[in-house]
Amino acid sequence: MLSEDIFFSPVTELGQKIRRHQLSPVELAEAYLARLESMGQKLNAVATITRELALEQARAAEQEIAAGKYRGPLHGIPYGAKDLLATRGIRTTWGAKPYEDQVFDFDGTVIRRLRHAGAVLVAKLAMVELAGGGGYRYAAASLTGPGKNPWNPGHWTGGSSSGSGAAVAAGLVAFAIGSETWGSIVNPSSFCGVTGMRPTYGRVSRHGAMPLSWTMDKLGPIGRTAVDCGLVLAAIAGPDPQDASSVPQSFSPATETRPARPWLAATGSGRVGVIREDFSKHGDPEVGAAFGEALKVLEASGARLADAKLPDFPYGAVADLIISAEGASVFRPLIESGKIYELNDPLQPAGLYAGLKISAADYLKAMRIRARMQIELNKLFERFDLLVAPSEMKTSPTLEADLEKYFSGGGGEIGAAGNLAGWPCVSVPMGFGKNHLPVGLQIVGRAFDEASVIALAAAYQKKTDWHRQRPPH
Amino acid sequence: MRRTSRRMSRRLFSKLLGGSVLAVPWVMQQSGTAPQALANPEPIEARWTDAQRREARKAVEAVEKESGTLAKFDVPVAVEPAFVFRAIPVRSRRTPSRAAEGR
Repeated sequence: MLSEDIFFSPVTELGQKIRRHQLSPVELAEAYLARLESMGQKLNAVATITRELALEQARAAEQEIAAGKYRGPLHGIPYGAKDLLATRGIRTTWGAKPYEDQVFDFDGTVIRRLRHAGAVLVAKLAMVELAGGGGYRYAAASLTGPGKNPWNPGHWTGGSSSGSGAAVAAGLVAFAIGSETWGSIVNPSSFCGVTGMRPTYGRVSRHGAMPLSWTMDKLGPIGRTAVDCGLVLAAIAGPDPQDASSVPQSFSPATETRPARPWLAATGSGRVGVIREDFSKHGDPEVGAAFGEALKVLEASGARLADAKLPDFPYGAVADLIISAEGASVFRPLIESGKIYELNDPLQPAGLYAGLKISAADYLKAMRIRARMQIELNKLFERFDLLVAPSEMKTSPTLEADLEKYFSGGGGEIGAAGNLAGWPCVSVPMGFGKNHLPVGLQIVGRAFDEASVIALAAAYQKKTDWHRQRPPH
Repeated sequence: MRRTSRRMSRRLFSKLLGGSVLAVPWVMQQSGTAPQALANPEPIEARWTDAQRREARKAVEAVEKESGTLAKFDVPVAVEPAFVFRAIPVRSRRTPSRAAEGR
């Protein structure tokens, strides 16, 4: 019987134990599978448990390691993948009723790369239907029901990578893969109190992943620590002929033998721009207070903080229009088949239908504005090495909340700006807000500078223990 | 065969007189030149409940509002023409984004 501590250990620790033969991959996979079968279903975090495949992969890992063939830090580590990643012979539902029986005959590139790294796929994880494609108003917008937050099951996990956030928070997987077009990794990571990474656009191949907005979709890890996210990123990053937007750059994480440089050395000057939000106008003041404390920790870590202001652009309108137009194009056959009525949330069919009404001229104008945004936004990195902001302005809403109302009120433009620019970001837990629900700090870097983003996040996590807190449920 | 042709013509005329361009894909389907999905002569709105119509109207209005926001934003014509690929940061601009994979 494994100690409960194991389920909340970072990949770095699990990997060391496996490498030193102190922990059996098969025993570890069995233990995670048992948790997924009991707690995973209660939290609506699971789409499909891949028991047979997991045990086969775990046995193979155990045999290889026993024979002296150690593949690296993910070898024998159980993980879950958002159910928008194609897995050969295992259903991939995209979180949506019209696709509940969909089975692909191939693995997506990320799944394939993790298999080569020796990781063990224990579950396909729940998600908001079509990754929230047409927009959604309720937490129940999912084939598997509302994602229940392990910190308080009466509250939402966030989305659209709902199961990925909950499963990591509840210790049901060692790490998970999520996707983000606009907020879908950062939001559940913040609400569930875990560490999530949105890589630079083009860093990770999306082959085999459900498309929503091909100029904005990104795949990335959710884990316990920034260092863990770096290890996973290293395994999944790199060019892929099957995704023409993937970039010919790999990513090298810190390792036991090659420790990360201190973040100040990594960034050169330690200039950190602070995106301030007006919590007197919108958001929870408790989030503002936690952000203030986080800034003190960053300063104590050597950061030279100065206020940063995003250039004045209609970020939200541009992001929404691009995602709506591209999403309507992707799902046009679904819309025209009438099967959009099978989606759970009333906003989904309406939003997808509305997407079809966007003119080509409007879409292209949005892309032109986006190009100007990128030029102006990138000038921020002439003054700063990194930017920081609260991941979300509020803690998680209740399961019944009207999300449109809950999230109305403005603020948080860095989310739309960062996704439009393709910038990498890590969200780390930075304390608790209302109802003792987690809140997150986002650290954003220039394109392809994940190393600095992870380095500052790791420095923050060395000085805090928010990421070590465990939910009661 | 002739009867079928006459029936098609009547349906086509009635559709055209009714102003529905969807009759055209219907004819294409009859001649085997268009997939079935395009041939559905029934607009999907026809199957909507009143509540769904209201939701759709609201969603379309939201899109129109966003388009209006963008219309007010001036982008000099001289900035382009390579704007589409600038959506992709830094080095990946070399490779056009044709892949449609992974909100």
